[in-house]
Parts: sequence; C-alpha cells; structure tokens
Amino acid sequence: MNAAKLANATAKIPASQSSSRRSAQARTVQPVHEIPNVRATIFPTIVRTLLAFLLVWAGLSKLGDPINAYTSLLDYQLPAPKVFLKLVAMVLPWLELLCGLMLLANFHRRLATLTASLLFGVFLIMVGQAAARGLDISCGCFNLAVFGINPASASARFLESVGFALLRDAILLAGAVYLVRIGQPSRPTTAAAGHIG
Amino acid sequence: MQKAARRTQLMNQELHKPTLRRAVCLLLASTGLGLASNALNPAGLRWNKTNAEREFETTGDAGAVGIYRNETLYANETLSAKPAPKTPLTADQHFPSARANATTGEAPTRSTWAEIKSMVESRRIVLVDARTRSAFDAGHIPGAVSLPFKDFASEIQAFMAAYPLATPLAIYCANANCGTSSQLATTLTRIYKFENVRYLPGGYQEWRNAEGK
Repeated sequence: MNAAKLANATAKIPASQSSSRRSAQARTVQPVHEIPNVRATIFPTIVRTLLAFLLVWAGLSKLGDPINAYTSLLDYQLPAPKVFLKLVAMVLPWLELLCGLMLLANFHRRLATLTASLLFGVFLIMVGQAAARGLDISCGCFNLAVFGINPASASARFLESVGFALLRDAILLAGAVYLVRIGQPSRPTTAAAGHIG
Repeated sequence: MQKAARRTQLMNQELHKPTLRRAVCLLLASTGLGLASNALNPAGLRWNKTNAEREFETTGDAGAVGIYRNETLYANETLSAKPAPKTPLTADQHFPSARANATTGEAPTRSTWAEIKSMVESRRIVLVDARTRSAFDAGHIPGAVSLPFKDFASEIQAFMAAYPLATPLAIYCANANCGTSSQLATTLTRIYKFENVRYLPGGYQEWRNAEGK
C-alpha cells in the first residue's frame, strides 16, 4: 500500500512542476492538497530507508567481528563491568540489525522508530562523552572495508572519528525522532474518537 | 479541550502497552540471537578468562630486566627483528595514514593479524609484545620483542635505544580483553613520538587462532 502511494506521489511531481512552468491556468487546475501528500510520503521514506540501511550495515559490521566490537567498546572507557560490555558487544549488533530490518519493512513502525531513536540517543551520549573527555578513539561504528575503504586510510579515519560520529549521530537521532513524531498523525486520534464514541 | 486531552491520554495508554511489550520481545530476541551466535562463533567473545588473560593479570612482578634478557633463547627472532629495515620504509609506502599519525598525533591504527602477517614475515614491521615478561616467555608470536606495559618505565630506555622512531611497530597483548596494546601504542605515538605504530586488538589469541597454535 505504501509503495503504491509512493509511486502515485512520484508520478505527480513532474506533472505539477511542468504544469506550473507552463501556465498559470494549469496551476489553478492542479489540486493543492497533493503537495503535502508528496511531502508526507517521500521524505519520511527516504529518511526511514537511510536509517534502516545504516543500522543494518552497523549491525552486520559488528556481527562479523565481535572481538573488534568489544575492544572498540572498551576504548570508550565506560564505567561499566567488562561482563556487561561483553553482553553489549553481543546483543547490540543484533538489536541494530533487527531494528534496521523492521524499519526497512515498515514492521511495527512505532517500536522500530522508537528503538532507532533510543539507539542513536545512546550512541550520541557515548560519543559525546568520549569527545568531552578528549578520548581520541575510532568510533567502531561501521566496517568500512565492505565498501572498499581501507580502514587505515585518512578518509576512513575521518569517517570513524569521534567528531564526525557526533555530527552523524545527531543528524540520525533527529531523523529517528522525526519518524517517531510523524508516526502518529491525526488518523489514530479519529480512530480513538470512533472507539469512544 | 479537556475531552480531547483525555482522549489522547487514553490513546497513548492504548498504544504504549503493546509497544512496551514488543520492545521487551525485541530486546529478548536480540539477546538470544547475540548469545547464540557468539557461542557458535569460533572467533567470538568468551565469558571466562583465558589462560593468557589470567597470567597477564596475576604476574605483575616488576623485575627490572633488560629488554633482551631472552636474547639467547630467541636469538633468531629478536635479533633479526631488532635492526630497523635498512631502507626505512617511508610511512606512505606501507601505511598511508602513518604520516598523518605522526604530525597530528592521532590515535594509532588498528590492524588484524592477516593485514600485517606478510610484513612481519618479511621483517618490515617489528612486533611488540605488551604482556608481562613471564607471559612472553610462556609463548609469543615469532619475531616479537617484549616491552611489558607494566614495567614500561624501566624498559622503554632500552627499547628507544634499539629502535629508531621511524621503525614500524605493531603492538599486541593477550587478547581482545586486554587494553594494554592500545595504551602502549598511544603512549609510544603521543609521548615518545614513534611515527608508525599500530596495534592488534585481537592480540596473541587472534594469532593463535589464525595460525592454529
């Protein structure tokens, strides 16, 4: 259903653009209510797909190398017992992977978006405290070798640096919170009203 | 207005309960999958401490011994590894990031054993064992030199005398649970200004797994 909506929306963009260029007459013919429809379907889908892709990538990166995931975690120098960090290193990749797949499939959207917000929130705090304490570590977020980026290269070091991770996590958190907020539009309210009424 | 507020409150209650339950399910599923996959993974994390790790933690004797105490035992290894390469490899040749490392003082690079294996075998990089001397004596990667992090203060002078700052170094400790390799790597880079330092997060255990020792 979502895909159909999306196709519908994409089909209408060029039409509205070209018509607005052609003449003012065509513009008056164009129904106004379809522009918010485009905004309400395409943009969230892009954000959702991006978050899902990054989460799946991050999850698979850590799943493939649990020892590296654990040492990256140790580098953050968190005041937590090592056993807990080991558990996190085992569970976190799966949580990322499942959350990413749920987002991608639009499955239990509310739970998926809330989990993604929580994950990015926690990442932001972790990277933020590392930055505040001046820890010069690699964030251990993604396996860059998958895309042919040499982990020792300057670009890889930038992508995995604390500063860039801070910026990236802030943007991703904003995206996830945005998805949570648009996840409950006015429709459920009317449904609830119907229940009560 | 009040009615609407109550309505949304009711709606929230209605929505939150299943979401919370599903969140618990998701967490349990991740935990189960994580524990299971890790148990099945031969290169996975281990809950109990390995022998090397225990050894590493218990033997902290600060025996101030020269770095080449084991010269006779490991003559072939240590001595041939000792001289820096005759034509010191420029950092860019083998470690594209090492030069930036030296100038900006960034954290040293991580490496896997597979990445540096050929360099170790062709003596283009010096392996440094950050574990205690007794752990080193009990077994180490061929070609490695001992620079115990615990006795760092008494060992570093001899080490500095033997290896010029341009020597490519690869540091390891017991396994993924030890942090001394990265600490030593950072110390050597930042304070002692070694220009080309990397460390093996997988440690001695990774080498043993890889080489079947």
